[in-house]
Amino acid sequence: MSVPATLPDAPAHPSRLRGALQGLLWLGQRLSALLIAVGLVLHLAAIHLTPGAGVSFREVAARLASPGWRAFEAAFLVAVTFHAVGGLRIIVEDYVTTPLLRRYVLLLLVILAAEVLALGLYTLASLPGA
Amino acid sequence: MRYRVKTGFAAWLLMRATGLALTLYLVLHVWVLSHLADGPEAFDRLVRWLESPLARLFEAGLVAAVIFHTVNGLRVILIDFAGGARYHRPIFWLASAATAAGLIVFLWRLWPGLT
Repeated sequence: MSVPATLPDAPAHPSRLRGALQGLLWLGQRLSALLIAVGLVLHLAAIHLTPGAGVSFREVAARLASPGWRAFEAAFLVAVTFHAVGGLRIIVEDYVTTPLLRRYVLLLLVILAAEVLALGLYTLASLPGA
Repeated sequence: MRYRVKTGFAAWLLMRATGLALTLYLVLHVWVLSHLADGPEAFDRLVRWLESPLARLFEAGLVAAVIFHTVNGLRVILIDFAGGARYHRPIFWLASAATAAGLIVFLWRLWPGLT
């Protein structure tokens, strides 16, 4: 089977702006990965390895009463959500090849991610002591 | 799309599968924690479900997915930035071994009666 010179769904002349954005998203996916790898160790150590810590309301609320931990969890959530959307975007672009449909699916993806992010940040902001 | 079954393909497919699973977990995690707003009694009643055997089994899967996605993610970064393409196969097996080890440690902790 012969391989076409250009993939059918790749635009013949991708705009320079779009190319720059793709590059930034590619780099952002790797940078957020490193941040998450470090953040996850802190996140799990704080919840599962710290004496007196746990997943009951009292234990969770006690840790998140600290502004530092609350800021950390907010930043961690932003990084993870960004990374999840970045990964799902690649999957969507692999399987949804119709340009208009692809656009709507990606828009839906961003809206859903914004809702998850908003719910998480709202939860953090409205905790007792916040 | 056409698939070629090789080490790189296995890594790529597992990266996708674990990424999707972790995304679903992220949504579930945020949703569960949003119930902190319901107060101590309601929240503790909800998280008590996490002690059920089924939830523990999901947790074991979560641990495996996290380890694989993390180690294989470092593999991708090494390939992209540090000429790691030469070593991509051994690093994939390292990711797989780390996943198996993490799973065993977790299950051992989960069911101490097994040992």
